[in-house]
Amino acid sequence: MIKIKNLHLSFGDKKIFTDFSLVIKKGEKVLLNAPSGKGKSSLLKIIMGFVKVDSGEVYIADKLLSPDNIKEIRAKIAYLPQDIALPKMKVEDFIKSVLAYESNRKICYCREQVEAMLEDLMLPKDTLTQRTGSLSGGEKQRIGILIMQLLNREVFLLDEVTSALNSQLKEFITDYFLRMEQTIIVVSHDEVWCQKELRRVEW
Amino acid sequence: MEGAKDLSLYSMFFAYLLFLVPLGILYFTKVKLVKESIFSVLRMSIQLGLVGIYLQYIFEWNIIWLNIAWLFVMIIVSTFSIINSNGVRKRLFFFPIIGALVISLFLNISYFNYFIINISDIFNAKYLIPISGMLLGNSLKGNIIATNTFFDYFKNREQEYFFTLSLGASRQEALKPIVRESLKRSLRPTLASIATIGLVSLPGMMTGQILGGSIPMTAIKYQIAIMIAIFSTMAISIFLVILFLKNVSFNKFDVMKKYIFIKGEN
Repeated sequence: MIKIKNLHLSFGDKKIFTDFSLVIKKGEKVLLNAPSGKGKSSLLKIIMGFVKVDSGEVYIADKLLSPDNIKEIRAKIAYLPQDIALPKMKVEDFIKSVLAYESNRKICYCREQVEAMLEDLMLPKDTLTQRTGSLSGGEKQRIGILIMQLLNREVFLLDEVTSALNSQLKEFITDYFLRMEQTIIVVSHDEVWCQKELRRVEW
Repeated sequence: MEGAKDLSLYSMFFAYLLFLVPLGILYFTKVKLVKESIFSVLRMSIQLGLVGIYLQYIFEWNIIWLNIAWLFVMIIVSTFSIINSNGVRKRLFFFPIIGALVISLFLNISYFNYFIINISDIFNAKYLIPISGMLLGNSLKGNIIATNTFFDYFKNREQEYFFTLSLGASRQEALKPIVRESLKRSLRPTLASIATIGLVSLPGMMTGQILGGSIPMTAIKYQIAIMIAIFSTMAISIFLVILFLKNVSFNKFDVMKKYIFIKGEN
């Protein structure tokens, strides 16, 4: 699903990656494990095309990451950072506004489906009528997950998604992701991920 | 119009004497602004002194190309001021910003002079230069706020923009809320002053006209027209500046180029 070949990246004088390669199969659940400042979050951003590398290649579903197919590649990937900032509006309106983006117009909004997904994520149905500003960090996180599911993303890049959650929610969210069929790549300092069974990539 | 009473050297002495009051307050409260205040007033005096001499000639000669050249000097100074306030590279942003300012200023000043003041000689120095100064001065403030809002977003909240892109938004779609925010923040102060004008402040143009011998009603009509023209010039210039700088600020992956910022500024 994801192939990274001979990656080189430095920020100023600081070398982050030197000839780094990695292959992640479809459906695999991977925890990136490296000391702080060693480029874990940067690697997720590289996969999304948010960070320009010095040299090396990144393939997503056999497609080389390049300006020509960046939209197509991003349409396969869900990127979830720690703090999800949602614009101030009703949750339902926000979901609809995301589906109104040109690339998402094929996906229809079906309230019953969304309500069922809310239930799966342990969120009450009336979350849809709440304003985004009144949601807690954990609720915003789950709305993010819901939307990415709705968009049929094949790969989930999770950057410290559980760090602001309470222990019960951490457990729930990690299990939720590990049950999913999609490919999951996690960056986290959270103990909860270390206790789970997933492939560890260390450098 | 008989013109305002001239101020003698004696009067100017008293004007500068008044400056000692804020200076004294700053000195005794140990607010470290004394030097800066003296420098600012000195700079203002020299600048205005030179401009006064220059304008006297420019009004007397009233040569179209010279008037327009002076307008360009004003625009170039504004352009550098906007660029410097953002700590971005001059080479990249000079043409987009100056282009936006030229279009918005020339559109508005031509419209104002031709349709509102109703003169056929729209580049007449007497009208062109002071009115352009007011339009440009306000646009400058607005553009500094707008561009700072725009670039600060990417310095502090780039993650949000990335998240929006990952939700399937195109660059344009992801930038829409940021552009909206920039416009809103930059136009709001002017809107507030439009709404309270006359009640809270008597603007400089009106005061000047009344001192110059105009009847208040004439001064007020001018003021209404100029406020609308200021708002229009601001909105057009800010919209165009953001539109043009969007085109040079991003790479092919829709990410803001890091090298647009001068090192140490971001």
